[in-house]
Amino acid sequence: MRILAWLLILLGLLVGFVFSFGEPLGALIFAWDQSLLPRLQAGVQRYLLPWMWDLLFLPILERPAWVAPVLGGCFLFLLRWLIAPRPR
Amino acid sequence: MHIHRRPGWNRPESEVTPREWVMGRRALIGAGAMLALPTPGRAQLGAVPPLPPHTRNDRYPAGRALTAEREATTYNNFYEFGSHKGIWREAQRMPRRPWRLAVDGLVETPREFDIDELIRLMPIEERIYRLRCVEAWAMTVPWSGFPLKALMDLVRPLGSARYVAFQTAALPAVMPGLRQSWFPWPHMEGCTIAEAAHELTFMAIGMYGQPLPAQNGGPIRVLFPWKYGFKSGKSLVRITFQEQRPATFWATVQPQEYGFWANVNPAVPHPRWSQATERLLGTQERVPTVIWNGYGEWVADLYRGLEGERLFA
Repeated sequence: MRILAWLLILLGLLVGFVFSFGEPLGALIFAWDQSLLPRLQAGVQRYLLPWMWDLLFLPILERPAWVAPVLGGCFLFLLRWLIAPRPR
Repeated sequence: MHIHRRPGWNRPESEVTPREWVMGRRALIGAGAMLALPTPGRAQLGAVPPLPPHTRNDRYPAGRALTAEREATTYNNFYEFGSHKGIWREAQRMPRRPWRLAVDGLVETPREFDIDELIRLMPIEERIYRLRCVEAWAMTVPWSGFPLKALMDLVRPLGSARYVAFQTAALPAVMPGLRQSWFPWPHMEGCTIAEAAHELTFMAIGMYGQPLPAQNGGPIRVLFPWKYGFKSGKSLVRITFQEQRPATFWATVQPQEYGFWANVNPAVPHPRWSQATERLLGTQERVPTVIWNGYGEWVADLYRGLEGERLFA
């Protein structure tokens, strides 16, 4: 878990340095595959819940691309710390 | 001997919903509104003046029964408000007054119109058009408005103008879709100058005898009834005459699926679904799609010599 956490943080930093730290995740995905986000949005809004896109997906896609992997890495570190055995 | 062969889409006039029935239903809805019942097309009616008196132009028979008003105003595509069909709720937040429409670019007299001033200047009439969505559903709507040609006669495009670009409003405060900054907002659509000047090209300011609801493109939109619906730009704020072909929204975002021309053709499938048939809103009946959406006798000649273009995507 610790290795995965470090990998995610390094991935975030790499994305930040390569694409700039201000680049939104959505813009990065859109540049990679222009049709992916329109299809994903249509799928979420038409077949799941219309509000889910605006409230759940968009806030993530609007954030800089490095944020999600770095937060994911930090979360794994936190999880590891929480579940790790403690001395009595 | 003259033989009139009725094409499949051309249903007898007897099947068209009588205007009195539609208007009677409207009165009923109006009574409902008085009791504060929500109706999708009326939420902003107080802010928008009624349409001026006008008559129906029967030159372009729809050949189909009208779609029920409630169906046509509650099943919509307007990507700025979301990509689900219930965007009419979100669209009610968009103010339709005051509203200005700029007409500029390669014209003798560029103008910026207040929408009510423009309505006073234009010859308003009603036309029943079929609308065929690229998603294979269709509706038949009585639109109120004026031919785009009448507006062109007012601003007089220059000889160098070859294309027309239609720009949709971009209002971040009421359009959640604009948060997706990676899309090429504002939404642009376009056509050739010949298509713009065609007698079928219509600027709609109303439907079912009432001001155009926001979810249907109010307060003003363009209509190309022989093209897939996404070409008919909604809630327009600018019309620009230009020499270069405009980069249109869907042709930019998904060029492998949507092109500049997007003329209706049942023989050319969308990459992900057939275009051979269409579902009629309201009845859910599935009927065969007709090339040029049935308007071939008026528009097919526009495309002579353009066979090398991707005319049907």
